[in-house]
Amino acid sequence: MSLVGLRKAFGATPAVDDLTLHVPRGSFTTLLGPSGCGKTTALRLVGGFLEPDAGRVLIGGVDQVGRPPNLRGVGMVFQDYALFPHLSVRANLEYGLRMQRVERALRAERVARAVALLGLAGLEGRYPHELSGGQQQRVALGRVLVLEPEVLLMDEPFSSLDAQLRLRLRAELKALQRELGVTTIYVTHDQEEALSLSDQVVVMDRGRVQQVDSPEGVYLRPANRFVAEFVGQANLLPVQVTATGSAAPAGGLTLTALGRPLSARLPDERRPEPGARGLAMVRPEHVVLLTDDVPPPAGGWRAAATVRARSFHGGFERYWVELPGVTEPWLVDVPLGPSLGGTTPASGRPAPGASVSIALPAFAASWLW
Amino acid sequence: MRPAPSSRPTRTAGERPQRPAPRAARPGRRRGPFALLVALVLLAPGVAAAQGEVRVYAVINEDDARLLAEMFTAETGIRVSVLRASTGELVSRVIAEAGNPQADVLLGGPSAQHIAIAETGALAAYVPPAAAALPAHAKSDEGFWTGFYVTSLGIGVNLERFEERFPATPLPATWDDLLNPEFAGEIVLTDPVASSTAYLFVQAQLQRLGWDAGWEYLERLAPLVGQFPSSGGAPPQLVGTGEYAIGVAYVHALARYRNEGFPVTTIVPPATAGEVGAVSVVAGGPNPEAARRFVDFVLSARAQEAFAAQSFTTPLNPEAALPEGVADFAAYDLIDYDAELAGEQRDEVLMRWQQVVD
Amino acid sequence: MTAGLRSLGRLWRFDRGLLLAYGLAALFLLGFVVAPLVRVALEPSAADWRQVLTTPRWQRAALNTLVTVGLSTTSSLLLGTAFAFAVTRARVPGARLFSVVPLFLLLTPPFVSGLAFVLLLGRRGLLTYHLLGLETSVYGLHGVWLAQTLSFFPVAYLVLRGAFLAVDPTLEQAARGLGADRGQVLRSVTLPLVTPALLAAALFIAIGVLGDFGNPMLVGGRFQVLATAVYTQLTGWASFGTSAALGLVLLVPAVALFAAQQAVQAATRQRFATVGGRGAGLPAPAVAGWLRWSLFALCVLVTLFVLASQGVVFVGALTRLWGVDLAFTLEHARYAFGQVGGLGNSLRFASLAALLCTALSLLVAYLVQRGGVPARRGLDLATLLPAAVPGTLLGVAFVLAFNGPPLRLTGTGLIIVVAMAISYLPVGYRICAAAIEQLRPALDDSAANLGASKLRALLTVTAPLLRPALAATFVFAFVQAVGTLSTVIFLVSFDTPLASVTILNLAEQGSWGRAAALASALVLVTVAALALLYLVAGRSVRLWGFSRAGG
Repeated sequence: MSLVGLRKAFGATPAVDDLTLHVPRGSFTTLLGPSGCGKTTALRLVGGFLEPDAGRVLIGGVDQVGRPPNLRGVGMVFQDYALFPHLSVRANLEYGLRMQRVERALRAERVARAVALLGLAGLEGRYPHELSGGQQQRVALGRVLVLEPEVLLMDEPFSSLDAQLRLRLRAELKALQRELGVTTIYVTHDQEEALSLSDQVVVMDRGRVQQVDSPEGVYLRPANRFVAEFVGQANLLPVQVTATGSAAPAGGLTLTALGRPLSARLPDERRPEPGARGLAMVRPEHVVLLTDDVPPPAGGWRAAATVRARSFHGGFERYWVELPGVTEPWLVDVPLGPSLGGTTPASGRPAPGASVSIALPAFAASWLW
Repeated sequence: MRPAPSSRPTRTAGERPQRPAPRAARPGRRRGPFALLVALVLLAPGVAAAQGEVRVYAVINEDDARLLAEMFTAETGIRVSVLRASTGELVSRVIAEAGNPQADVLLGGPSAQHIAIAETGALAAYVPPAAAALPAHAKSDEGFWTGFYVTSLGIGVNLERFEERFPATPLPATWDDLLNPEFAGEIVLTDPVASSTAYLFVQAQLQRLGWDAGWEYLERLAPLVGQFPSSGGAPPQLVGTGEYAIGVAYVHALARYRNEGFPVTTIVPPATAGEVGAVSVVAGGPNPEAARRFVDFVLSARAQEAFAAQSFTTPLNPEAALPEGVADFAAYDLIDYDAELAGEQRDEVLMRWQQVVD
Repeated sequence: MTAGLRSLGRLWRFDRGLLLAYGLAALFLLGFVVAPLVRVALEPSAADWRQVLTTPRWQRAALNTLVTVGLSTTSSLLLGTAFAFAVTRARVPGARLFSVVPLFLLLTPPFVSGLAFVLLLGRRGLLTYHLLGLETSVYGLHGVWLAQTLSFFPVAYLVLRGAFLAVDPTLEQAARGLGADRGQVLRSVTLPLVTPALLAAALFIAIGVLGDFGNPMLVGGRFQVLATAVYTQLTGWASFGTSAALGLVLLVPAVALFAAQQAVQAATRQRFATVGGRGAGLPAPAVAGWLRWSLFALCVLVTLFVLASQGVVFVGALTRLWGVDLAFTLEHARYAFGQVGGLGNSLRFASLAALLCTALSLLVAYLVQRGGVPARRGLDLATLLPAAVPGTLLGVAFVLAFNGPPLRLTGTGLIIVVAMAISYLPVGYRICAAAIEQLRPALDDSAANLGASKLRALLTVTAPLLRPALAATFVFAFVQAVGTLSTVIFLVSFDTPLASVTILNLAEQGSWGRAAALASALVLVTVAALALLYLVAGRSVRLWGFSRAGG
């Protein structure tokens, strides 16, 4: 499935601007971005609930633009499920099959399969308002899956569920999608969800695609500052390019930051000119806080910093540190082992106000366009 | 009121089962095709036998129309369909339906209205044999309508109300007695703009007193009138129920109320005006032959007698005997009413009347 | 224009069912709303227009019309709102009982309630004369005002009751929590939230008052309004031209009111977007004691009047002659129940008209809001237009327009059914449109996504979910159509007598006993028909609930 040059404006402001995207068959592709970035609009363009001002929506090589939603063969799970409140679970599941005039026996068979697949046994006679949130979610998914769509669209399907349930359903969904091999486009603003579910992540902002890559790609090699900051936490570092040598692994880059040399990853094929100034990004968990117990990594970059604040996050401890010459404070996540003992958690660790040194291992930073 | 529980799935999270909703939402049974069938059955056109039927728009009282219809059917075997409504409605319908007439006969209503319809071409000329014996003012020159009863304007008084309000005042006996300032707000007269009955009254005064004196009379009367209803049927009703003490109306209409049991007395003042009630054949109606036979029948002596006995109008066919209780028209003091002049002056008079009243 | 053609092209390719429905709806509105009005507009000559515009009497009638519209609309709104507030928010004792009282007024044919009004409050009225010994005259502006207030407040009540029920009590509780006293909550939260409903009700009532001829006719006395002039011009001397011109003059304020309401609604739509959704079972804050008891007194007063006016008619049906000879008799009742044809037709035609009206309201509301069809604005306007047309004018327009080719309908039952359906289409359309607005579009989208064409989505999802609104539309159209007079008076024929028209004729010729008996019979069979409907359709049909469907 491909989207080619899709454009849709509401009034003067474009909601989706020149969206071109290839979605491989059987893949799980996530559109990720803040609210208003155009991801839902893009999904609605694919589903046929909106018509684009320009561009094409190709499914199996056939342009779908101009076709009404009921003839597109794409299934959609809506944000609040949009279950039909006047129909029982069974009737909701059967609805699409009835619309396509599937004969009774086949209908029963497919519904039974969906019920079994989604663990809805025993609930067939209930009405949506008699179901829990998770059950409603499953019915919404099952209702679409019985139609065996070529493409499955999901619009923040877990947004109205609580955190625990969300985690469980996420795992279920991933397994189910693998098993069925249905091409899926998923919309969310939750980067964790996007990273954990997807084969391919499309980060969008203000109607434009910022980056298309694997989850690891968008996290470790964000294309630009927006992606870096939207997908996870990002520490920014002003840098100057010294060399774009091919000697560095993975097309690495040598930079100067705060007067010290620093090696960095590159997000894509492009190469900055030597001498160019720009920003690099470092993930908080990749920063090393140097203490007596922690020796500096070999061949790494170092800087002096001042601790501003500290907070406990369960699995790790987060420090806000200030680097001279860097405007935004950095985050440094230090993993916590069992040695902490639970007595005085912060003993022997830098308190706010303390002067510390930080270090970066080789290629901990990534160049931002 | 206890608010009914909502049937919408709430957005609360978690596996917690949600509030039960009312048993409101259940899958609907398929009633569509059934409803369609019912609709078809209900809408099946009422098939009327085209032969052996006559369709009559009746301005006259429903019971009177039914009496004539039953007599006619008994005599000829032709079925009569009657639709009864007020003069104005039926006149409007005959005019509006020209081209696709629904009725064969327009029964009743003042001759002035029949003249007005004839001008639009909606009436067919037919001169029944009995018309030869009628006076000239009771039939159309071209044969568009024929008179079958005559009545006159009179003063109706609710005796109870009158005695209560005006214990010292004698009942009004002449048109001029109505000008008594005591009666302010107690007189009800139909609006001549809306009703031919009232126009007859206005013209009668103008013709009785002459143009200038006639207007002077009307200008003095108008402020005393409590209400100008639109329908000629209203004054007898309002006087009958005691809403007003005095009303101007046709004597036969007043007589009917008295007969129903209302405490109404009818006064026929001197120099009153008579009105011929007419019957006419609608041009292009579905049953022209039966229509003509019906008109012949209405003018027959036996029909005239029976109708007069029930309606308190005076028959026009000289062969008809005068039933008991029916006024002998010869006894009334009638002005020599010029219907032609009345027709010509209508717009002018009504225009001036509207200035007088307001 | 090209966008319209393009969307038509898409419908033709992918959704011919909807295209057909759209075509039929558009054709119906063009044929039965626009065409008759155009036909009527062609009727008056230049001289007729001159006469209508220059005659002082009609200028005064126009002024009177505006006065009654202002007064009666305001008072009906106040009474209806107070009544709705009393039964939904103030929780007066017996609220459940009171909540159906105004509907009895809707159910009584207008002519009958007018008659009852005179019998009760007239110069010889039971209340005014016999009980209070007053010799007051009910005739005139004050009588029209009172009668119209009583006839139109149920409309305000129905709309406002739904609106009050839809206001989330949590908001009121929140205002209490922020320190507002009871009066302040009412003024600053509750009433502002029902503003859209108030506006909608005001429009309906104002247009209803504009076209109302029954009340001014019966109790106006010398007080004339344009609607009565339309009637008398036609029935007096068959002046089609002046009658049509006067009727068209009435259209001007009606359209202006409509435009004003639309403008205000559009300007304030955002502010009220949050209305809806019942709170988590919180009761609304209690109102002050004095307010509760005054509202209770008001409810009792109105109820007593409704009972009295129904009672007068029933007593009239069983006595020899009302006010003169009170001997008991079954003679009139026997006559009334002999009028099987008229009663049967009234029920048949009214139920068919209500069906048609409901189906059309749903279809047009859906097409306009969800259909993605061209000329939505025109569709919207054509559906609301009949509200601005006085019934008499509509009736005459129908006779003129359908008395010959291309469509000859005079004398048939169909023309009556269509005229009735058209008359109540604006209200039905509004009810359905409001209900669709509260249905989440995602439901439609998901039906489409699951393979349903728009037409099938309408039939399988939207319509079932709108059942309360559809039931409200049906019942409203049905009870109003049973009693209607002005529209059908020119349309009844030999084969299609109607009870309401017969009642008018009987009353006109002085047979009050029979008129009252037939009116009572009509009310009884209407109630019986509604009870039957209630039993058949089950509890899902909340007869009077303008409640919102779940989404």
